Amino acid sequence: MVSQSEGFFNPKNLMVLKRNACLFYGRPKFRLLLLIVPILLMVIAGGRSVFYGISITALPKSVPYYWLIQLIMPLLIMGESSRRLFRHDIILSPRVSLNHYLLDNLLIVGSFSLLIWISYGLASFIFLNHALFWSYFGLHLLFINSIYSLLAVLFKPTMVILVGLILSVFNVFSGDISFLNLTMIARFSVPDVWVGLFELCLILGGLLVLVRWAFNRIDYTL
Amino acid sequence: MIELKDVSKTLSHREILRHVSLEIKDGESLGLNGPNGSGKTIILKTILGFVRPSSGEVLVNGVPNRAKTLFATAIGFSLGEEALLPNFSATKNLELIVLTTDHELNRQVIREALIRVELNPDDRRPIKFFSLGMKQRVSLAAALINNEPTMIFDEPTNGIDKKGQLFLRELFSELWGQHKTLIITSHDETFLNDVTDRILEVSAGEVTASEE
Repeated sequence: MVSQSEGFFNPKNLMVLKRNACLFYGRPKFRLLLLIVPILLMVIAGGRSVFYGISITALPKSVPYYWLIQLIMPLLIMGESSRRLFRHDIILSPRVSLNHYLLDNLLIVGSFSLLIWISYGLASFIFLNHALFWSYFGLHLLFINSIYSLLAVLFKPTMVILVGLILSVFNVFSGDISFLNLTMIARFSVPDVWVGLFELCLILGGLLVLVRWAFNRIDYTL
Repeated sequence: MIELKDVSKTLSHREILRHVSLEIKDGESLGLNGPNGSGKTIILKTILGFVRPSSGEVLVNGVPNRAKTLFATAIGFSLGEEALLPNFSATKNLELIVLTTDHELNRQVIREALIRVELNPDDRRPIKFFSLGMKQRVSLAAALINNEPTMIFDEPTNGIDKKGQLFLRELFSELWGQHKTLIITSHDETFLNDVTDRILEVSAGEVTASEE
């Protein structure tokens, strides 16, 4: 017999976590090759060029494609992984709580964000000259990937990515969205970090409430 | 007891269940017969809580679906290969099913369940390499593993050869003898006649009593 003691990290919960991690990483394993694109850009053009973006005062304004590519690539790699985990492969038992399942997802997305952060960091060595920027960027990745994984449960992933892309381009010209401005070295400022993190916390918190509400109302495709 | 009260379901502006009302008593074995796409599987998924009715109510042992938990409790189910994880072995699939219930994980019980459906418990291959019939047997084992009082089987004869069909008849007779509540869908009416107490016809999302 395997004992099923209480606490989150008991054998039962760990096995569910392992199952979900296998499913999450199993699907985009070939899409992970997409990481080569931003990594090559960072190696060839240099980390600063990729993360520099464009200053809010620069004229004329043009879309910084390198910045856009590194920003959107983690979402393209994740694709429909979270959506399937929730809507198709959800544990078919009333005994695994939704909170547990959501926490599992956030842990897995966290590990994915760490993987991206380390890969980008090693390819660009940007942390050597921009340590604060790089620290914020890690948190940004964690939040944005978590937000994307929850949004993809509610809406089609392609639609979510498209809206994200439009918002990013829009923000290049308007500069209204703090957490996006902070992903560009050209617009990064330490006092704005708290505003950016507050915005991200607010969106993630709101989405967690929305997803919990929606779970009782959606159909599971299984 | 399971009750469906005037349940309708609309998906993409198409009504796939139309005012379905039915009652399945404890210990009863009910067959749902009908062609592909008639709504049999959606009825099962509605009972299990995977699909939320657009109108009407589903009660499992007096508790409305999604009132306390997302999915119905104490129901073993076999929904074919779509409910299994293709990259995991048969043993691992069953272990995960047991682990997500209140039952203790007993590997001997899992071995016995696989032997019961005539599969090799030492086969470590991911089930994506199994034949359709073998996947169907894993799915049957998934329904049986926790020995729940109610069991649901969706098209259990799919991919099963003649010898396997004999085995299925014996299995359902055994479950019927144990007074399990069984809901079985199939488009094979002869099979349903052999293993169920009564049969309902499902056609275009509507349920009617069988003519026989």
